[in-house]
Amino acid sequence: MQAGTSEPVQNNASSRKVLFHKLTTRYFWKDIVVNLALYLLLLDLAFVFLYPFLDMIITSLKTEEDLLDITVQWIPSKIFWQNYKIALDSLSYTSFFKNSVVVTILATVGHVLSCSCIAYGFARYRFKGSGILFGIVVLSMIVPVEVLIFPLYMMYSRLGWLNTFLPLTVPAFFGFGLRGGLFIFLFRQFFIGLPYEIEEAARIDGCGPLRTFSSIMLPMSQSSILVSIVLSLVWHWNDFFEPSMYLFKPKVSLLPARLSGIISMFNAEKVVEDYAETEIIFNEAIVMAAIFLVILPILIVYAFLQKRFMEGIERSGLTGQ
Amino acid sequence: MYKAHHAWLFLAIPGILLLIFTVIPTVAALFLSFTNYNVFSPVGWVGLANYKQLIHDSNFWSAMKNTLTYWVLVTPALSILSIFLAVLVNRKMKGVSVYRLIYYFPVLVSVVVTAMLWKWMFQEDGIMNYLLSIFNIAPAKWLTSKSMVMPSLAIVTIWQGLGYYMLFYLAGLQSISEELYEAADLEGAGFWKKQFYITFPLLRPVIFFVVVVSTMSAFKEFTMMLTMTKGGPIGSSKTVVYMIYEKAFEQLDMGYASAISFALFLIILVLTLINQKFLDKDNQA
Repeated sequence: MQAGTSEPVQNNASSRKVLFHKLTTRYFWKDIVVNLALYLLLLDLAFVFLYPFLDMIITSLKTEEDLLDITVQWIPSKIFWQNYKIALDSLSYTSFFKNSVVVTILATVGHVLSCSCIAYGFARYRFKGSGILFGIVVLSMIVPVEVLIFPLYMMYSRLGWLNTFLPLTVPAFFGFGLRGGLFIFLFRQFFIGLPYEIEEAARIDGCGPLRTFSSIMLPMSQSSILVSIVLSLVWHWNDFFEPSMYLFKPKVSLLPARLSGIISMFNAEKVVEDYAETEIIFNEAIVMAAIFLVILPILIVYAFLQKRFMEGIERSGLTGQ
Repeated sequence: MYKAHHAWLFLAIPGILLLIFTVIPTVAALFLSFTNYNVFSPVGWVGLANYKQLIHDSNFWSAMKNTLTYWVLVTPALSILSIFLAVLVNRKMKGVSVYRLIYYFPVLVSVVVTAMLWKWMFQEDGIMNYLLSIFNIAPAKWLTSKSMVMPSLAIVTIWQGLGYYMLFYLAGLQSISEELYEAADLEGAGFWKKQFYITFPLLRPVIFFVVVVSTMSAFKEFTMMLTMTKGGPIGSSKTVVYMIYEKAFEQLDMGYASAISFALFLIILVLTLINQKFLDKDNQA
């Protein structure tokens, strides 16, 4: 495909001949032009996708004067780290970071364990009612959580689970919670694609169904596990609606709720009770710094996992054939 | 060899809890839709009154119109543009994986954050109006004019969603044999011909998946409207779920909110079935 690469050529004369041949073919030049255009397109698109983030980072480093000065567009007159300090303090970052991490990790572990298990059951067994049961799973993907939030709220309040992390983590351990249905679907597609011979061999060797699943099938589904982990981590880290319903005591809130508090205070331009003692008027720079602090952990995690995540999606069997 | 009772090893506990966490709340919500429950007074059965009210509620129909507008703007764009994005980053070029990473970035941040960043860009003196000024176009009222607000919100959603759907298409593309394209090259097929006769048909199961998923999320979206426009100006970006939220948590009219919820749910269900009929012909799972 690429213009520059061709098989290594042994001697000089033939290499010159090859070069001459290449330069005179129409395709060579066409390739270069096409590749250049493509790189430009890739770069432009990258800029479109990155611009809001770049703007955020730059704004977060501006001083009050820079914010007002319209000539300061890209380069702040001095880098003002103070914004980050204020943002860290007003988010109470360290303690709420801990809350968010606990909920996110517990829920993710729960999703992977339960959804793989449930999906295996659906992929390999047909019994009376299995169709209906899977129908309910698909339905749970369709029903917006807003529709169910009130009955769920009542249930959790009866159980005494409000203002604890239980409503956000326990359902995940049983295949529900945030888009649990999608993970069941994902694992099911993967298991359906595996040949039956594997389990037959295991059975001949004397493996029971649970053993077969836990020590053979599960290790084979590494790629799907990774995909579920990444998606679940991102969704739980960012989830705002459900936590804001069940966790209303400030002590148990999660980072997105704290962030949205700061954003709405910035929009309302007034100091809300919670933050009254700090008496900080938030400017754009501080808000942007706060946003950056909240999204940074997930960006880092993703950057580490992205290569294997992409491979995982390719192998997930989600994409047909 | 797959004995039915073995299935319960995997499904028994989740099956029971499925009932608790999904079926019971759903049934409860359905029940509430036939009542006038408003948190303070006891539950009173009103039969179909909520649904009758719904049919004559102009607010509901305008919310439905907004939702449909949003869906029409968002789903086709997401389903088609992300194919091209995937084709683009599927080429074997140096550094292409960096671009894949960058295009996926917006997917990693929450809607609340996206809304904040874009609100900043949609400001009167923001970057979007600056871009217009380059082409000598008068500044637009992105979020404050009735006709612009839905397209503006759609732009944000498309910006955020492209990377996500790109990933699924990318996976689909990898499973298409390179030889098909080489054969097409020999026949002298150009870029567009190759996409129309090879890429699109072979990606059909993925397209189905993407259309279904993006339809569902388009119909459910409301956090973005809540944080960017508060449903305004004059209710022109109020979606159905937004209305449910308002009725349930601001006016505490749970009965009516549940009725709207079910109307919405039925519509999503019907759309999913239609999608399945048209796009999933050869992949009935």
